[in-house]
Amino acid sequence: MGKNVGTKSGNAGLLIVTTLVALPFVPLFLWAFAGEWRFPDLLPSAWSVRGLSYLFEPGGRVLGATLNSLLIAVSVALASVVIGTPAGMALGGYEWRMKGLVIFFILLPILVPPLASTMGLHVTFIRLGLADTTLGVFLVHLVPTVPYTAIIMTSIFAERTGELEEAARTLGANPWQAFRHVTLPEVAPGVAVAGLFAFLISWGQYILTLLIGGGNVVTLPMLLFSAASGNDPIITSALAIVFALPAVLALVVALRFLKPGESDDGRGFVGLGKVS
Amino acid sequence: MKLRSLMLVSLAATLSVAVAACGNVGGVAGDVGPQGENRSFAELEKEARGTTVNFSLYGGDEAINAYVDDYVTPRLKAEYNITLERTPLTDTADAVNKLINEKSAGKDEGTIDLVWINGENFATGTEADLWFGPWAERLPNAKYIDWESPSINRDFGHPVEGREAPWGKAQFVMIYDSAKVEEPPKTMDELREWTEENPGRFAYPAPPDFTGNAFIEQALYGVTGEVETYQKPFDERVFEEKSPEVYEFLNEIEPNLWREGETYPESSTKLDGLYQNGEVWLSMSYNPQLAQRQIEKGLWPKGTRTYLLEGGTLNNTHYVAVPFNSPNKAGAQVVANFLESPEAQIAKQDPDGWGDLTALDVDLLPEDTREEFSEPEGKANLSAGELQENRVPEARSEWLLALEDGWQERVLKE
Amino acid sequence: MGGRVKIALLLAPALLVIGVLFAGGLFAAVVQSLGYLPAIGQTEISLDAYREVLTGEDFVDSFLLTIYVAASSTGISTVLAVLAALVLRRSSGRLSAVVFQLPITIPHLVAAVGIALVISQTGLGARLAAALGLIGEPGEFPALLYDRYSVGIILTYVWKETPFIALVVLASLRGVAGELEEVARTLGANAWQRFWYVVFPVISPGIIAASLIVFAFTFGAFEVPYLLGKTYPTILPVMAYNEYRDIDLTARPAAMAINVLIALITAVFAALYLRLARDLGRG
Repeated sequence: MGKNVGTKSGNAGLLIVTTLVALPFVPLFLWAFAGEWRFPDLLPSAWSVRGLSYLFEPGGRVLGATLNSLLIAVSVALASVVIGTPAGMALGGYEWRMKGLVIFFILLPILVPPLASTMGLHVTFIRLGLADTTLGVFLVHLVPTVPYTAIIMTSIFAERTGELEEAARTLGANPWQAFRHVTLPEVAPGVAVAGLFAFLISWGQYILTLLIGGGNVVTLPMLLFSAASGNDPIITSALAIVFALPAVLALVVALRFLKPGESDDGRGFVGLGKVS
Repeated sequence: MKLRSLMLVSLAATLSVAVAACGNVGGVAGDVGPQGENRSFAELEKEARGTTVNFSLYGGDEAINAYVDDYVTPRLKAEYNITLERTPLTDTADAVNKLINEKSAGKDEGTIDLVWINGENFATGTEADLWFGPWAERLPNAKYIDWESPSINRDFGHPVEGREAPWGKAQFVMIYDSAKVEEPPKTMDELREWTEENPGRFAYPAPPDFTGNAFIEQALYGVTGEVETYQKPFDERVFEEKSPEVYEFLNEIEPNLWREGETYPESSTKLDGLYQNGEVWLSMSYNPQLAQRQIEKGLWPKGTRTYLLEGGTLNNTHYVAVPFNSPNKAGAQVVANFLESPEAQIAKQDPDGWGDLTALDVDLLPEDTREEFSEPEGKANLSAGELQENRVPEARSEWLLALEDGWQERVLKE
Repeated sequence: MGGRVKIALLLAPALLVIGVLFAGGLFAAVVQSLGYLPAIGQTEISLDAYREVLTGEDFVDSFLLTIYVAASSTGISTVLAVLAALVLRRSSGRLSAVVFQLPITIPHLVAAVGIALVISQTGLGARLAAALGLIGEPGEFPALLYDRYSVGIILTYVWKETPFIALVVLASLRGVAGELEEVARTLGANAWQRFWYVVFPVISPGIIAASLIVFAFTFGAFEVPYLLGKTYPTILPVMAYNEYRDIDLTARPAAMAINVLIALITAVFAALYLRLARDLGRG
């Protein structure tokens, strides 16, 4: 395969992949602005703003649910970063006997569905008065997010050698100063990625919120699910687009302000191999 | 060392969570008993002013949601300064499940004030002692309700005992597209023939969807040819004797259903969608005015018509109940009273909106109000008289539970 | 000793959260699965729930379906991902990164809804077919949703997971594998030889690791099958949820038993993944 042919097939491949990736969004956008669209028309026969006005209805459910989702996701992102970063420091920077066990423990909630543990936890939450509350939902959202932030930070810290911190220490800085002025700025991009991941995971949660929130804590995915189970593709599509928006924004932010290499989550996983 | 003690602390924390889950803290919450409500309505109104009432109801029907959001909520705010919060449910059983969970966890203050309910869900709740009351017969608007009638004071055979207030009535009807179907089937035998001649054009929602339950109940009445038997208390032997025929029938028609019976629409809403798409030509509903309403909205073909099965169709009353741990029982009762008011009932019956039949006995209303409860109009509607003359009562919920479980085992799983 | 204290303190918050909320929840699930429900007066421990679940036809049907969905989704995603990565490594790096990263950030529900609108019998695909004169009515278009082969569910997973695996492979291809390949080419190897003997061995550990994650995830995922799956059989997590929602609380131990079984199966995959990652580190 010569370089030229490779490039041609490469770009053709890119076109195909891009089309497939974009495909599910086509009907979403068409339906969101449709007024009437009967089978077998390829395009809506009438357009309308019914979908949009449903989203922005003053006092409507969508605004409230979106704010709820945002509140929970942002808090979860902050908390899981604060919790996961020190764990990443420990796992990435040090070696000790039972480290493999700890890594396994932290990795578990990523592969074992949090639904299983949350169903078990539900009764306890009711007893403790955490069910039907935003706090309760916040707490269960930590389960799928903390492992992610811990593991991302682990691979970030694993790549650092601590030389710069040592240099700072020999120059007279205390550990906290070394952390604040040397470590933190260096790992900040990694922290941002971890936070972004945690935000997206919490943002997309449905069943955990439904179970613990008991229908009282209404987030955007619950409205979407409810609409998707009904017969109105216009409302469903409008909700889906709003729901997808932060994800797209997060991607744009990540690409603009972080180098592509660092936002490559693939490495975060395979990188685990280097850590143990 | 420290690491190990950290592990031990985590383990201890884990275990304490588990123990908390095991412990029986106040499992037997206060007996809801016969005390019920004894304040006067004026007191209730006063106490309810400025409060929030959480109303949990099935959220899959946009017309019902619109009625509550656009008519009931503003009226309650204006007249009683009550803020009504509508919590949509995918299935009323979820609310019952939640209440049972809360009861066994000893949670005396819950989040639901009023729940839309009837049938099995009400019966399960009664058994688990979930309903506050009695209160319903003390409401001012209760005087327009015929409490003597067994279709009001018994909910699927279970005594209501004032623990739920009637909200509306439903009657099971069949729907068909007259442009595609010349003679819709009126009996189960005719249905079998019809599905053979028109494969894939009929479906029923999977139990335990409410409408799906109704269909297999009609099949029970139709195939066994009996109705009275199922009004009596549940008898296992009788059930074992009669039910195989019914399941045989349902299995016989299965290959000729939509998607060859490989899957069933999961709700009546989904079935409505299939009818709207033209995928099925024969459908059903608990709302006799649904067809007319959908035609007027331009959603269903103009040739849609409603009809009844031979021998009569199921009719029932649906209610609102107050859970034992409602944090605002006064507010809940004021809302229930408003829902039963003639003006709210007239608005509810409006076929442009929900089109649900009234629970009030029009003969008990003053004459001028009576006139506002007009006869349903429109080609797809049946007259009130026709509906009334062709009704059969619902079976006692135990028969239905057994029937539904059996459907899961013997029809769904083949 | 100061070092160990430090490590313990650093790990404490994360271990606490996972220990209490996750392990605690699983422990509570185990306890309930053994039949211990004092709230309804059941205090005897037994394995009845497990016996009932494991010998039940429902469980076997559900388990098989779950394995089928997870295996198909993982298999198809992996193959497509490797192909896509191989083809795209020679195209614009930044663009392909974006294209792959988009599905990773999009929530599953959005993907499910969008794909459903494409493949349903009145969806985009059906309308295209009608426009081309291939079908006349919705019923003539193949049923890809709520169907026996879970096509809709698998397609959604494939759309979401292929980019994830592809990124892992791409990273690997653009690194060591790329250099080795150059060496192989100068030594005279042809395209197939280069792929099979040089590239594939280098990228396969990464592929396997990523596939393990995808398999475990699709095995235990709830939302997409709940929305797009058929009435019976359903996948294991949905079956657990349905049992949990049963008003009859005596079904609770069965629901918890299914949860515990799901946890055990996925934990095995977690362990496998870690073994692999550890070997990777050494290699």
